[in-house]
Amino acid sequence: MNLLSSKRLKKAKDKDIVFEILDIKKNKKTGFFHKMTEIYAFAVALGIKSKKTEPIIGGNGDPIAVDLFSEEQQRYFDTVILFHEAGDITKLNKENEENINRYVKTIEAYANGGLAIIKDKLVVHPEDSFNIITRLVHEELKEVIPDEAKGAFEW
Amino acid sequence: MILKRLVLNNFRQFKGRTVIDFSPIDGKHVTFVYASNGVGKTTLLSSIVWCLYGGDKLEYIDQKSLFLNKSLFQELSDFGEMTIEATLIFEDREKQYTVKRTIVIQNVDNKQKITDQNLEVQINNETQYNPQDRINSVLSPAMKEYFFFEGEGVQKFADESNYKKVQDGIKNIMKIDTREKALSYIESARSKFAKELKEINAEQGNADILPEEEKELLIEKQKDIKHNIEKLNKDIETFDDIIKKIEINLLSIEEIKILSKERESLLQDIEKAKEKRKNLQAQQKDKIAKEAYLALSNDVLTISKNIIDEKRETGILPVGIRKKFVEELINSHMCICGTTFDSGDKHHNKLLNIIESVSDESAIEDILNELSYFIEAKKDITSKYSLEYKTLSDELTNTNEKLNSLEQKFSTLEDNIEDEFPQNEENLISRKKQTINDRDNSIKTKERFSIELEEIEKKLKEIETLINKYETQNEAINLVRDRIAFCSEAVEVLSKENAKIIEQIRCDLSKKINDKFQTILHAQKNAKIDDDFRLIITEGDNENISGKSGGEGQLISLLFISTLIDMARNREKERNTSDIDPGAGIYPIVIDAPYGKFDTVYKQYISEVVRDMAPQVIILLTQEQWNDGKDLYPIFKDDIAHQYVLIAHRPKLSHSFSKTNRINYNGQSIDMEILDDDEYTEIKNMKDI
Repeated sequence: MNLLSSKRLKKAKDKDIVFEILDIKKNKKTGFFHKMTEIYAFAVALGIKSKKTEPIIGGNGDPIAVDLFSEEQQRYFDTVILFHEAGDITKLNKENEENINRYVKTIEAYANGGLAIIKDKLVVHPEDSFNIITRLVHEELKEVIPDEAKGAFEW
Repeated sequence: MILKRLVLNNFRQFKGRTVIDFSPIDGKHVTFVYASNGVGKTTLLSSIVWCLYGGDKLEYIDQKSLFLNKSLFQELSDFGEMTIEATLIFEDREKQYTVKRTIVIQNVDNKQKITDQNLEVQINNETQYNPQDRINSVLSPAMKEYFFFEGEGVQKFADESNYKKVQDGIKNIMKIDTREKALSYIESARSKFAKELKEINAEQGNADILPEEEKELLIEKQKDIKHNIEKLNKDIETFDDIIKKIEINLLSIEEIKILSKERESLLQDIEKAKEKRKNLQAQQKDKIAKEAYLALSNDVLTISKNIIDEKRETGILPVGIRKKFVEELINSHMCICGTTFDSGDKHHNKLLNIIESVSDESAIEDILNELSYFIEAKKDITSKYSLEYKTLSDELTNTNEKLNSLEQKFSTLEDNIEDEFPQNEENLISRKKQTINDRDNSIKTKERFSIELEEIEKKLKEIETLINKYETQNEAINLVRDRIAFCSEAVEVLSKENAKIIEQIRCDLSKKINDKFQTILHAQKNAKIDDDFRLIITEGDNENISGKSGGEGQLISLLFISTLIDMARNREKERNTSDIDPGAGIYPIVIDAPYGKFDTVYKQYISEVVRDMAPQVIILLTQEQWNDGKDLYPIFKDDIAHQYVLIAHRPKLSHSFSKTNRINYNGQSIDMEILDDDEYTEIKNMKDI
């Protein structure tokens, strides 16, 4: 029995602003992510790439049901757990309540870490959100992308 | 013209011989004649006029046909005759004229019938052959009303309908009529010569109309047509210019149309490029939103894959019946042995037992297997993402460049179109059509004129030939033609000069009348002779107030005559004896009852004017108007040469010793009515009383 599917992933209240800027439904000018789950997955990836986790303490915004994440995003979260738990595959057991709680907290911590990075960059010039996010991604990628793709990642 | 003496013989009221002297004495030029109404004042005026101009009727009085004294007439037997005589002696330009007019009256059925009239005129005692002409040349009959006034008739010039009298007066007294007569003679002469020429031409079988006249007419017509053609040429030129300009504008409209199409196409391209850019940007955004997280997670995916692979290789991964497999069998109601079952039967329970015994590890393996597939599928995600993103970026750059270039082209095009934006095409086309129409009409008219011109030129040549032929044919024709030409020229010159002189006199006269008028009245009024020769009085903002006051009307009439006489007198002084200038130089005034019912002030105004209006003034008035000289004497005292009183002899007195038929003179009271068996009027010089 997959206990994870009934869980919700929390986001810290102070990071709501990131969603308000990047969610196209909330702001048509600055937003270009069509779903909150996309922003959340992106934040997780950024958090893990930057090795930045930030546990959620205190108040939190509306949590996102795990079911709302795509299958691909859920698979991705599994790889994050596998990576985070240094190969301890038992941590992927989704029938175990204790495991699931740990699973959820880990993802939330990476997401919160990633959201913190995004927030730092965005709050100054929210109107330039697309370029800020693009630059953020490309800064992270510039070492790993193939030479033929480099032109697009130079600023 | 100065009246010296009037002698009447049996003339109406005046029985026997009556003599009255008017000659100025020591520069005193005024004669007063006092009489009651009906006694003979107006008869005196009438006798002077009749003596000068004759006629079967007397002027100014009732019973115009009664020439003979009534009591004498009654003594006449049936068909008995008696001669009446009026002799007027006057002087003009140092010549003495004696005018004697007689009329023979016969008693026919107790009515006075004229049987004979005679006029004798002597100048310096020499009898003249054309006596009436001699008188008329001094003072034409038309002029009598300017110098011989009767009662309120003096006001007549102020009547606006009498502008012709004003104009004629100016012409006559200022001798313009002489010029007009000359003009009329020349015109008559021209007609006579023209008739003569026609007769000569007719005798020679020539055309009715003079070739010279026809030539003149044709030349005039030719001039008009040439002028019209010239004007039409200018019009056509203007129309051509307008058409050219319109065509240039229309051409530029065509160019602009092409440019506009190009602009439309560019706009479409720009829109497409913008759409493409929007799509590319959306794709980029989508790529970041949907794929960037995986591209960023290359390490995570690689490490996870390595972990799974390592676990498999080392056999750490659990092996057994997979929980999911058993779950699927239960859901499909099928046992491992292949038997289908219902819920709760033994196959079902067996499978439930198996599922309980299946370890969690098998579920993990499922997850790991799925992860393996997932990671395998995403293994090149970073490169793929980067290359795809690069492709989008490149495309975007190209699209932007293309868009820039398109927008630049568009802007240049837009500038050109704006700079040369022409007028509305439909208007231009309609204007062009209209202008072409106008031009064509002008060309047609010009062609018509040209044909007409050719015909005229042809006719002119023919006439020229005709004239040449006549010239050689007949010298008499040439002579008559020369005369006609001379007359025409003289008529033109004289007409212009006459009009100029009359206008000059009108202006001078008007100014002088106004000066005198204002001197007398001291009022905010003006008197003038307007452009139409109306004698008018204006007030304030040039408002015509003529006719409102009888006194002013009389005043302005007298001023008109007096000023005119004054101007004539000045002209006479400057006269050159060699001038062709018949008629009198100076004129007398005989004025009957000039005061009407005016008050003292107006009487004085009028008296001042009358006193100065002519070198000789004869005033006929009633004793009431004289009023013992209270109002008038102070004005005239230095100018009175003679004073006469007319005494009525009657069988019955009309006023019976009342004050009204007496006049006071030098402290004496003189009766103006005396009881007598005869009824006649006696004239007495007041000095002799």
